[in-house]
Amino acid sequence: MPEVNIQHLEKVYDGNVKAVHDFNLDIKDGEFIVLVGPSGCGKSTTLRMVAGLEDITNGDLIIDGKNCTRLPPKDRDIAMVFQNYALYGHMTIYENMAFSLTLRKEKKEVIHRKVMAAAEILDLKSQLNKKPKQLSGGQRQRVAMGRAIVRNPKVFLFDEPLSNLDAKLRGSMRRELILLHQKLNATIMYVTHDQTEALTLADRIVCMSMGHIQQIGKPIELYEQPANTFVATFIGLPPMNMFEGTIEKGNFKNELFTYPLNDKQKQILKDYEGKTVILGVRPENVTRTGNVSLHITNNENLGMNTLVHGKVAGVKNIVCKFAEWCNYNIGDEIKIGFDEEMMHFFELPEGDMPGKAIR
Amino acid sequence: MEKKTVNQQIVADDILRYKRNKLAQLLAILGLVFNCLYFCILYAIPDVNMRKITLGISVLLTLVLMLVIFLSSEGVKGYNKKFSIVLLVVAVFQILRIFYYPLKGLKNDTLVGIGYFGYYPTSSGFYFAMMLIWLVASAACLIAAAVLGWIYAARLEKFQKKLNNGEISVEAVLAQMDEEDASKAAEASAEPAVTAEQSTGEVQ
Repeated sequence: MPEVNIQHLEKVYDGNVKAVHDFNLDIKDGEFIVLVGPSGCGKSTTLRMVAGLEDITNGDLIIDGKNCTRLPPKDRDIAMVFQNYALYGHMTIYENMAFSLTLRKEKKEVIHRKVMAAAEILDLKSQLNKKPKQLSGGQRQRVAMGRAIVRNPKVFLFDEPLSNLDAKLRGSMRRELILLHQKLNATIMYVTHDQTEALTLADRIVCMSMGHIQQIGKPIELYEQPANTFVATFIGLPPMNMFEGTIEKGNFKNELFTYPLNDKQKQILKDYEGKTVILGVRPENVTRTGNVSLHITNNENLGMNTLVHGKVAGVKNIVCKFAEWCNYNIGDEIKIGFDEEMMHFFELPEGDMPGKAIR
Repeated sequence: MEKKTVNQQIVADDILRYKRNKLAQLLAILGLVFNCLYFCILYAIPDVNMRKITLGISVLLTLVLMLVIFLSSEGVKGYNKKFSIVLLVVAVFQILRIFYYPLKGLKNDTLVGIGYFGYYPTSSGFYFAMMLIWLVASAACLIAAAVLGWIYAARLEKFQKKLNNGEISVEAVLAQMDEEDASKAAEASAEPAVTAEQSTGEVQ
């Protein structure tokens, strides 16, 4: 499997609408890259530019050392799997999977061997004589993947392939995708707005917002060391709680609470004395010991943990995730604190740009 | 044409399990189309003799025939031997029809008036010749469809039997072919290195 180099990729639509700004990414051989971000952030546009379905306004796309920027899709040796499967309803599963090879006028024997191999990998052998409408959503998506696999492309592109499936099926398909990647060792670019998919599937995640790359890194890096306030709030469910406040004499202080900083935090924030910063704390890093008062507004028991919604000092809404079964009543007041090792500090946002992490 | 190896033949037979017999189906449909052309000509003859009770029977017969051919075309597509026999019977019927209208008509060639082909005096022989051609074409297509349908159905049946008896395993054959391909690829990649060594005289 080859490497993919995306250099200064930009997409400008008519009317000077810029959908993708200076996108740079080097994808290693056999790497699983997930592009994640909210709707309209440019992730699908980027994928479609790589596929050749959208013209590249500026920049270069290099696949396996070959500049593919201006090549038509058929000459790029890539395969794309769409959200709506894009299967031919009048053809059987076998014919659907064999279709691209038939168009290439491959030998029948070669086509058969490739289709059977793909069907074996995807556990579709018993479905080959059926029509797409006879299959479940998950099976249809597997057929769409099979159609990509038989071509043995250099790069696989997935555009929100699991979005049409129900939650349970999505979970099982995620596991199948991981196994498929291990079996094929394929270079994959995968677009999703679902952070769970991104965190579970990716070798590296590209988090995007408003056409800009916000952060590229391993899932754990994005989760534990978000580069800015956007990544911090986008990755993680429920999202990170954010508090604005100033650094004063070794404390993080706002109108709601004053929180003493430890030595490490003081060192990191030494240049921000007297300045306003943002403190970010993930719901699971809120502890039930501390001096910050929380007025409970909702208590959601999820079995293995409890989501407690409340207002800090009766003003600021936050969510806490406690790893045990809690039975708080609405209106209860409890004291909370934050896991010192997992407190994140960010600069204030500047215009449209999210606040950068302070490290 | 290269002769197929045993494994290649097994793969070719296995393909039949997943692909319909579209060639036989196409030929049967073509036979149906030629039959349509036949009766278009038949009813276009400006002959008063046609306006009898037999015309209704003829129309009914044609409709039944078309339905039978169409259903049989679907049958042979799914490798059903019975429909090959049906197609063959219809083909024989088409051949017999040649001796009824077309040949009879050709023997009694007369000049007919304004006909199907425009406002020209036309010989009835022309119509009957056309009918003959369409019937022969229809019969030929139906026979071909029946024969092809039978051959492929028999082949698939035999293959299926072998599979069920465990005489052959498609998975094993495919795996063996993959291995052969892999070893061939390995040999091909190793060959240039040996040639280079030989050219320098290091290998004796």
